[in-house]
Amino acid sequence: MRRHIAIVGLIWVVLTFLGLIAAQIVFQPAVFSDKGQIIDSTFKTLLIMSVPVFTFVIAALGYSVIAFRHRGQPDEDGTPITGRGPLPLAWFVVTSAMALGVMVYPGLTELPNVVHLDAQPDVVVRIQGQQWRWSLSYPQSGAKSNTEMVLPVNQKIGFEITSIDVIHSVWIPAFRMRIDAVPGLTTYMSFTPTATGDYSTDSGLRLQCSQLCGLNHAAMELPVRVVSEADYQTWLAANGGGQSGGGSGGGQPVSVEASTGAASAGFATKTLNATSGQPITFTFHNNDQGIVHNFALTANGKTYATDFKPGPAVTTVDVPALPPGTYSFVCQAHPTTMTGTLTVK
Amino acid sequence: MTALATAGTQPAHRPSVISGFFPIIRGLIFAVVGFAIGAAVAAGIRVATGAPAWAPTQTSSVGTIPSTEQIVTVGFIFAVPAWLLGVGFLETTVRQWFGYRTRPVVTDWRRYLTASEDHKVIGLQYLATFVVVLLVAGLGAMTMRIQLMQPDNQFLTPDIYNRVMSFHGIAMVSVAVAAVMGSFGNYFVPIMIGARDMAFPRLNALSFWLIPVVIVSLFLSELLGGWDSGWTAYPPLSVRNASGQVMFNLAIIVFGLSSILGGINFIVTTIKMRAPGMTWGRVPIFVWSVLSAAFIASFFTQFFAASLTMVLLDRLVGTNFFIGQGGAPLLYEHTFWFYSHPAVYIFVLPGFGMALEVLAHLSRKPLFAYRWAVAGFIGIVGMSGIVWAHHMFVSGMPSALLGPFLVTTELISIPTGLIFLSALGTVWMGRLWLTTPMLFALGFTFNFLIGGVTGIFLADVPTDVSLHDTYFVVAHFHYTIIGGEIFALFAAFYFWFPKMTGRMLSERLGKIHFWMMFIFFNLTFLPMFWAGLHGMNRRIATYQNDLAQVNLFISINAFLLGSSFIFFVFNVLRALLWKKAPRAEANPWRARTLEWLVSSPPPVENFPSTPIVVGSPYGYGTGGRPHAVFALAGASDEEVTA
Repeated sequence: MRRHIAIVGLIWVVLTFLGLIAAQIVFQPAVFSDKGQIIDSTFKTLLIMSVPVFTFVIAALGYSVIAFRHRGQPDEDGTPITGRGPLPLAWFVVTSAMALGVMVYPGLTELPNVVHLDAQPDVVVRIQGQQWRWSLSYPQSGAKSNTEMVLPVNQKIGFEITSIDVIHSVWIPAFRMRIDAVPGLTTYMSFTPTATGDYSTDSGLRLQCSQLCGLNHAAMELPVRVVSEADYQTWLAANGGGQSGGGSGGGQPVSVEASTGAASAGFATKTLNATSGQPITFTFHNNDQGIVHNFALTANGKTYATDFKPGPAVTTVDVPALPPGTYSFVCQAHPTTMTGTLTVK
Repeated sequence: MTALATAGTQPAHRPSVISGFFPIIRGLIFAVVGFAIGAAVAAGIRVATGAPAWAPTQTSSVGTIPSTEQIVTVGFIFAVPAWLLGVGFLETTVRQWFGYRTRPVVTDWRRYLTASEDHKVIGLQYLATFVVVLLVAGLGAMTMRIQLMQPDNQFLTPDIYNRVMSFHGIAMVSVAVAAVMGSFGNYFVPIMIGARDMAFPRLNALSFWLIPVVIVSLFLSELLGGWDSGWTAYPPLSVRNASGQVMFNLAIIVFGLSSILGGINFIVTTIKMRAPGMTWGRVPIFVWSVLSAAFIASFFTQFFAASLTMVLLDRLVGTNFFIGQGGAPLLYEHTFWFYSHPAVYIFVLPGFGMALEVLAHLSRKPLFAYRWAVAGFIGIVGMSGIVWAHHMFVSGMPSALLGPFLVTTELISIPTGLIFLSALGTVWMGRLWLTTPMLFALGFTFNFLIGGVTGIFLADVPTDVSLHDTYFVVAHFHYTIIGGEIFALFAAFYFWFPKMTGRMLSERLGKIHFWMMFIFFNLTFLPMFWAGLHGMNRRIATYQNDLAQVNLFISINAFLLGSSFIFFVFNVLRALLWKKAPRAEANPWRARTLEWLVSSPPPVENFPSTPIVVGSPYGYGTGGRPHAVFALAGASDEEVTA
């Protein structure tokens, strides 16, 4: 009996030593945020803590199988140890202490570091999910994007996240951060990107939906680019930034309407007129009860779109001065049936 | 005993195969008729309220409600009792009640196709049904792995992939819930406690005959476009997707009913029907584990049924539990996980029990720290209801709830640790007879260790934020459910097959099955932890190019894992169909529990006379009393030691 225990103890020590060496392997890809670094180090702490537990069971189980196996049907019974007395109690106390330990550190001690929200982030990004794409807006500058997410490095980013249809989840693997986008609810997340990079060099830099949301769930992703402050400002300006956020930019007013049944009947106002050389503010009246629509105008290779909202709702979008010509607009939720043209004279 | 008496009146000629299927054919006809009546009622109500009897879509304040869904739902509600009536459930009772002539009870192979109230028949009905479901859902997994062999694969469309994935999920969950309890629980719990049947044999038959409704409905849902919301069916997606979702909800509500009725039956049976001398300290550990799981099933299942009902109402009559103004999608997540986390203990607790049972008998050792293992089961039952929100760490619920659920989730590892104490202590200094069931029980211990350790990373909020909904989670729960429960299921299958059928399985084929399954299971699921850490999220039909190699590796091993079941199926068919297959003696493992003291298979009503329990089921090496003796009928002063 003593000899068996000694051998298992020895195996345990050797396996634990090997396990701790193996735990030094970096299992994660490159990390791009401050909270991601905390998460990765928490992962490693847990990995190191779990090694002796794992190797203890493997040593005891593996040794028993090899040392106590019997060729063919055993002709006698094993040693009748029933396991009463102090041993199970000791096991209970030790495992309880381990559970409490891992609960406190790194569990409860690191928890606030990962989930706390910055009261005053440097940059606010609003993310809106819908089947099956993301729309971003930067309310401080008025910039909008639904083709990529651009963030400045080393600035506190505060995200405000919602969804207009089903539950989605905002996940950026390189930042290690995630929060669900829930219709009817705004969820929050904040962190600071710590290195520049983009999706073309690191596939973890992508905004991926990680909550099953129907048909094209797997393809619901957006490239993410972390850039310097100067590049960030340039990008904002090129994407509608620099105006006061949230519409009514004081351009010439143009009103658009969608009424009940618009998904098949199209916009109530299919032709619009405006004057060249002046900015335009489009006000979109969605009077289609419970149905999501928006107004999106394509001009100069850019798309100017209002937010998706179920009716009744009023949304606005500002468009800079346009040269004379005809431009097409659509509802991005119903791009085949809801179309129209804007004539600028 | 009436069954034996009527056996003599059977006609001498062999019954035709078709006649055996008569109850099922009649049940199907009744179900179709019932469905038609229900559909007509629904259409009639629509006409009475001024709506067209059937219109493809109908606009309301929440969007569109297809009238098909209303008609299908009412048809379904009528079809279920019609099916039960047709298949012969309560037939004898109803005939007697109205004074009609009753039919003789069938005693040959055809009884497996009737609504028999014999717990052993029902146990085998469950087993056969769920082995088939396991294999079909496994083919679903193979299909998904073909799609995932390379990124941007065109083998399946995203729609078909999502539907296959959803089907695989719920079919395997149904296997996990019912395969173990329904089959081995039904067959062996009454025998192991010395009872002649379950407490409520008719309820037991009802529990089983609702199962075909569930499985057929899940398949029929594909005719309505299937459902792509996974087994979790989170709204608003499950309110907005194809009409197949309605069949899913109806099927799973019925499945929940079956599960609750089964749970109540096990609780009453175990508490009230134990043989004389079967004190709580002598109850075999498997019975304890089924009792624990039965408590969970009967306490929590209704929460899932209620959630699914609310989703149905949102779809059918335009309520706004989860959508529109005031709809609360997080409400569903809470009520869903309030059942579905405890449900994982319905999966694994009987798995623990079966593995410990096999480890004790085939190590020829008393079950180590038996009373502490029982305490572990009770502790898990007690805590199972306060950990659910660890599935919702990133759902947007108030962050004040994160800490408390982290704490409860870590706490539940303490009673689980007691099961490991029992397993390790039992094999220590034993005489390990490494037969196929023993290998599966040992494999269970190894796999569940990996499942348990990786669970800590998901219980911890900081790491879960990163790992949630990735392949790390997929790997973790497959380690606990396949590596844990399904390995234990096969331990039980190889252990008890001789008892149930009177035939021996081939040890050689069994060992090939074990080693292939064990090796390729680990090679399939271990790399998934890595894939999850490297940004592979779950439930996706395609993925980033840099994950191509690991996915190809996983797929190849998954196919080999799948092919291991060929040896299993061949082994079973060989034992059942080959006339020269070796017959099983009463006690091929020389085990002590009650089921081994009767013939293989056990006689109707299990025992020649009431067993009297006089000792521990695990008294190996003590040279003391046997577990039980039989008092001979008519010679009560004489006892036969078994």
